[in-house]
Amino acid sequence: MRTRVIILLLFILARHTSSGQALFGLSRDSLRRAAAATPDVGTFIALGQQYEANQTDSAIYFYELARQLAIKLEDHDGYVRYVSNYSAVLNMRGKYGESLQLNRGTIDTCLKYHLTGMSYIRALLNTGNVYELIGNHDSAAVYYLKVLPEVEASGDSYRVTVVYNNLSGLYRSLHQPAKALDYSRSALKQAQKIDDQYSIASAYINMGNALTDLGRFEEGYQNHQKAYEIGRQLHDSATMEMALIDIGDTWLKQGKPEKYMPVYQQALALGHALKDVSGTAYSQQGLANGLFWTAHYKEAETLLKEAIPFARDNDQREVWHGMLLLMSDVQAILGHMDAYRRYRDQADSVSDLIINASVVKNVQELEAKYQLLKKDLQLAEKDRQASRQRIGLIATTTGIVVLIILFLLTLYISRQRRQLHRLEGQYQERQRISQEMHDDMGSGLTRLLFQSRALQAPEMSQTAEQLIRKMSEIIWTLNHEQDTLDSLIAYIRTNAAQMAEAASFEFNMTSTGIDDRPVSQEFRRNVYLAAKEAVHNAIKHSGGNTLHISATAGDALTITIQDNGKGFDPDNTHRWGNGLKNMQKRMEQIGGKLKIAGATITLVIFI
Amino acid sequence: MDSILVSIVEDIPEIREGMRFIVNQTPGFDCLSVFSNAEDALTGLSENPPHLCIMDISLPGATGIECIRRLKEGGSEIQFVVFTIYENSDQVFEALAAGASGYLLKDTPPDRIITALKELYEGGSPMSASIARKVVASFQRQPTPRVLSAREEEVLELLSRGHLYKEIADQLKISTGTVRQHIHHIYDKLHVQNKTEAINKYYGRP
Repeated sequence: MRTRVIILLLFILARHTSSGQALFGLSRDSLRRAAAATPDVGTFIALGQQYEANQTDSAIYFYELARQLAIKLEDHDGYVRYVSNYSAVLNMRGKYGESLQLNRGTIDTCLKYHLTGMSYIRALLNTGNVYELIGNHDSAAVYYLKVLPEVEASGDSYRVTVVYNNLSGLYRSLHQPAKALDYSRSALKQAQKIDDQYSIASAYINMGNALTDLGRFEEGYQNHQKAYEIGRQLHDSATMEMALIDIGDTWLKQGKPEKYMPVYQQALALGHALKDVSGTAYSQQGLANGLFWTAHYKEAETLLKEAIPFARDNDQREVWHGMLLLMSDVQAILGHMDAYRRYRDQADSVSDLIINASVVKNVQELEAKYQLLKKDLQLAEKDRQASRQRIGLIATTTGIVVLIILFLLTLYISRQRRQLHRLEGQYQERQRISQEMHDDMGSGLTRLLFQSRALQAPEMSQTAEQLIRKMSEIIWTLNHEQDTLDSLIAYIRTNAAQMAEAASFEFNMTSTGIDDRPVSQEFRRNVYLAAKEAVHNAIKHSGGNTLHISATAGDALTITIQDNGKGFDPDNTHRWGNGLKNMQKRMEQIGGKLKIAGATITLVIFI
Repeated sequence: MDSILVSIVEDIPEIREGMRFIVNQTPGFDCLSVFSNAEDALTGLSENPPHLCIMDISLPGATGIECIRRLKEGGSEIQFVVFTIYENSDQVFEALAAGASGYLLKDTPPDRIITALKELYEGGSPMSASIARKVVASFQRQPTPRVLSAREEEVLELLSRGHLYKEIADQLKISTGTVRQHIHHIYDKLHVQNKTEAINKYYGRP
C-alpha cells in the first residue's frame, strides 16, 4: 500500500518538474525536430519522458543520448537529470541495484563538483526513493532528512511539502506514528501556504494514517474524509479511491464489517473505472474479509474464486497471499478439508515467493554497496600511500600508549568476568540438579506406571498417575518463564476444565483484563492452589452439575468460583473440612481476601 | 487396508515394551521397529521408515530432538510424536520446532494413546496452553508477510489462554478434528520458521 502512495507522489513530482512543465505541451515531432536542430541535454530528456509511459525502450534510447551529451559537454547538472530519469525506468523494471548505484553516484558527483540547488536535491531525493522501494526504510529516512534542509533553504515550498509527505509515510513504515503525524502536519501547513490541493490531500491522507496507527480512529477518519472531499472537488478518482481504502482499513482494524464493506465497495467501483489493479485487488480483499466475518461463507467463496486469479494475474502478491489464506479458512468452515489443505499449501508457496523477492532486493542493495565500497577502498589506498610517512611516527607513539591502556582494561574486565561466571555457574548448577531430580522422579514414576499396567494393578496405576500429575504441577510452579498473570489464568482454566469434564460438569469461564504482567512465583502457586481447592470442592461436595469461573484483573485480581449446588452454610462446615483452612492460609500468605457467599467463592488479591 | 506402521524410540525397557504391546494389540496398527537410543534410530528410521514414530526426548547419547532434526533435514516424511513425561517442558516446544508434529504424555491411558495416534495419522495435532504461548512468542519475532491465517491465529490465541479443544470447536463452530488440523498447520509453519532462523543465524543476519 505504501508503494502506491510513493508512486502517486512521484507521479505528482514528475508532473511538476520544471522542464517537464515547460515541454509537456509540445508534440513529439516538434521535439524531435528541435533535438535534431540544437542538441541539448534537456531536449533529449524531455523526449525520453514522452516515451516513458508506453515505449520504455525508446525512452532509454533518448536518455542514453542525453547521458553521452552531458558527458561530452561536461554538463554535470545535465548528467544528474539524466540519472534522475533513467533510474525511474530502472525502478519500474525492478532493477533496484543498478538504480541505487547510479543515484548514489550522482550524490558523489554533486559533492565533487560543488553542485548545489536542484541537482543535489534531486540526487538525494531519488536515492531516498530507491531505498524506499526496496524496503530499506532506515536508509530512505536518512536521505530524506538530509535533503530536507536543502529543500527548505531553496525556498521551493512545493518540494518541501513533497519531502514532508514522504517522511510521514516513511516514519509510518518505521512504526513511529508520532513522528509520522508531525511530518504530515508540517506537510499540511506548507501545502496550504502554496494552496496545492493535491499535496493537501496527500497530507490529509498521511495524517489520517498516522492517527489511525496511534489508535485515534475518529480523528483519523475525519482527515481521510477531508482528503476524500478534496478528491471529489478536483474530480480526481485516484485521490478518492486512496482515501476510501484508508477509511476501509481503519474500520477493518476496528473489526466493523458493516462499516467497511460499503466503503470498500465504493473504492472498488473507482478502482475498476481507473483500471487501478492494486486498488481493485485490495478492495476485493477487504470485501472478502467482511463477508467472512459476517459469516457469509458461500458469498466469500464466490468473491474469492474471482478475486484470487485477478490478484495472481496482476502480480499483487501480498493481496494474493492474504486471499489464499482467507479462502483456506472458508473451506475449513464449509467442511471441505481437501480444499482447505490445497489453499493453505498455495498460500505457503506464495509467501515463499514474497520472501524470495525481498531477499532479491536485499541482495541487489548489497551488490550496490559492495561496488561503492570497492571504490571507497581504492580511494583510501591512494590517500594512505600519500600520507604514510607523516603518520608513521605519530602512530607508533600513540600505539604504545593505547596498548598499555588496553592491557590494563583487559585485566580488569577478565577479573569481573570470572566473578560473573562463578555466580552464573552456581545458578546453572542448581537448575541442572533440580531438572535432573525431576526427570529422574518422573522417569521412575512412569516406569512404575507401565509396570503396574503390565501387572494389572489398577490402584498402583492410579497412584502413579496422581504423582506424575503432582510433579507436573510442581514443574509448572518452578518454571520462571510462567511467572505471568496470563500463564496463571490459562493454567487454572485448563485444569478446571479437565476436572469438570471428568466429572461431567458443565463448565464455563470468562476473563477480563488478563495480560502478561509479571507475578511472583509465590503468588502464582498460592492463587492456583486456592482456586484448585475451590473447584475441587464445588465438584466433589456441592451436589450440583455446573461450574462457572470468572477472572478479572484491574488493580486487583478477582476470581469467583460458582456452582449450582447447595451453598455454603455458615453452621455447616462439613462441606469444607480442611479445604477451607488451606484456602484461607494461602490467601493470607499473599495478602489476599477470601469471601464465601452461598455457592460462590471469591478470591481477591491486590497486584 | 494397509496397517499404520509405528516405530518406538525409548530407552526404558518397561515403557518400550509396554508401548509395543499396545500398538500391536490394536487392529490397523503394527509396530515396525523399536530402538533404545538415537544413534540406532537414526540409521534404522532412514532405512526402513514407518508412518509414525514415537520418540522419547531423554535418551542416552544424542537426544530425541537431535534425531528428529537430523531426519527431517534429510527429508524424512515420518510424522514424529514426542514422548514426554511433562506437558510444560521446554524440550517439548524445542522438539516441535525441530520438526515433530505432536506430542504424547507418557502417563496417557492406553486407549487414549491409540486415539492420539489415529488423530495424528489423519493430520491433526495436539497443543497445550503453555506450548501455545511459546508458539505465539515465536511468531511475534517474525515480520510480514502474515504467517498464520485468521482462523489459525484464533485457535492459537484460545489455546494459549487455556481453552480445551471442545470449547474452541464450539466457539468457532467447527469440529475438534478441524481444530487439530489447524494446529498441525501451525506446527508446519513453526518448522519452516525454525529452519529460516537457523539459516539466518548461520549467515549472521539478525
